Amino acid sequence: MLTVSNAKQEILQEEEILRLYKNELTRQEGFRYLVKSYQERIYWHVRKIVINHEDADDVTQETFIKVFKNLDGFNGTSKLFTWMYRIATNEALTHLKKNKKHLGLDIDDVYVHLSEFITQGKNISGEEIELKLQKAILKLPHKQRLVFNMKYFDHLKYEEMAEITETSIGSLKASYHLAVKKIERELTED
Amino acid sequence: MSPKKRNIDLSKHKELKRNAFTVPDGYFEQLTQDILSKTGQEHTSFILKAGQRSPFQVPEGYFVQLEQEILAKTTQKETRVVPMVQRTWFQWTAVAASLLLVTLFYFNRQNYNSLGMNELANISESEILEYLNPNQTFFEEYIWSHESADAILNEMIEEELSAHAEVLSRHTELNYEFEYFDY
Repeated sequence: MLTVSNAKQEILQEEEILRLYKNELTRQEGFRYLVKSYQERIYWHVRKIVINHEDADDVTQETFIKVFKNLDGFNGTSKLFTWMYRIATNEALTHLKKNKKHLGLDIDDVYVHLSEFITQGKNISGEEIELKLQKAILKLPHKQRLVFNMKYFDHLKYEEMAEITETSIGSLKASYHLAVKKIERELTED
Repeated sequence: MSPKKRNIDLSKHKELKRNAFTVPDGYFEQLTQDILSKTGQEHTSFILKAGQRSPFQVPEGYFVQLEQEILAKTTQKETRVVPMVQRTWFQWTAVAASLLLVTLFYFNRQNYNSLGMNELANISESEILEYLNPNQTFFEEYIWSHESADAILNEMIEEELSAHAEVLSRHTELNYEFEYFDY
């Protein structure tokens, strides 16, 4: 979880990035700083949604291209990271929908398809229980899955998740609670 | 008898939070370059992959300087106002060039057509009058031709105006005020 000093540091970092980006002379430097600061967090968030590394790579790059094109319009009402996280989430879900169309699968089949990636173990090094967990997560409805990943792995606050998903905090809490129960049951039954 | 099921409580299994996924070696360095390249925000015009070395070299800090120069030039290009310094420089150059031309023309004429005071002293008055008379005729002819040119031009303008007035009288829809738009 983010400590107070980490959170403060993050705010200062965001301010510095925006300050550099808004100055024509330091714009490139600002964007480079932004990419270096957030690419790993964005990548891992996307990877947990699309599972496959190649897809996560494409989606992460698309996310940053969108960030670059829209950064001028970023009004600062939310945190820069929350804003990027939201773009990344949209891009990842759009990518899954495209996959669904491309492969002629319905959304449940997409998750079975993704589950096979986990079984194949390409770029996956987890222990058996971790792989089971990932497969259990894939069985969740997509909103519960998203909420579970953001809360359990990325330690986002409900307020931040509410901004990203445009959902009420109460609904997010319920989704997370249901997701945890389903996963625990899944892991216990196997 | 089936084995007893073990209840799993996620909050008690912190090890499950470990990342089960991996990425290829050096992936994030390459990702940075790929993103910067796709958004046109890279410092160099081409990207060398890890381990590759460019056969060419540039002075230290060259690209930072180049970037600033390009940005400065592209920013200047966008402004539509002509800088005062540039305009003044152009005007002064034009004035200087004109003065130089007039001076050269004046001195050339003097060298070719005039005689020095000592030389004039040796020439008789009648010879000078004889010289001036044909020139006088030339100037008179020039003035006459100039006046007739004026007359010809006046005549042309008169014709044009009357033709224009005639067209307007026949086509009244053409008789409108021009509007000037400030672009």
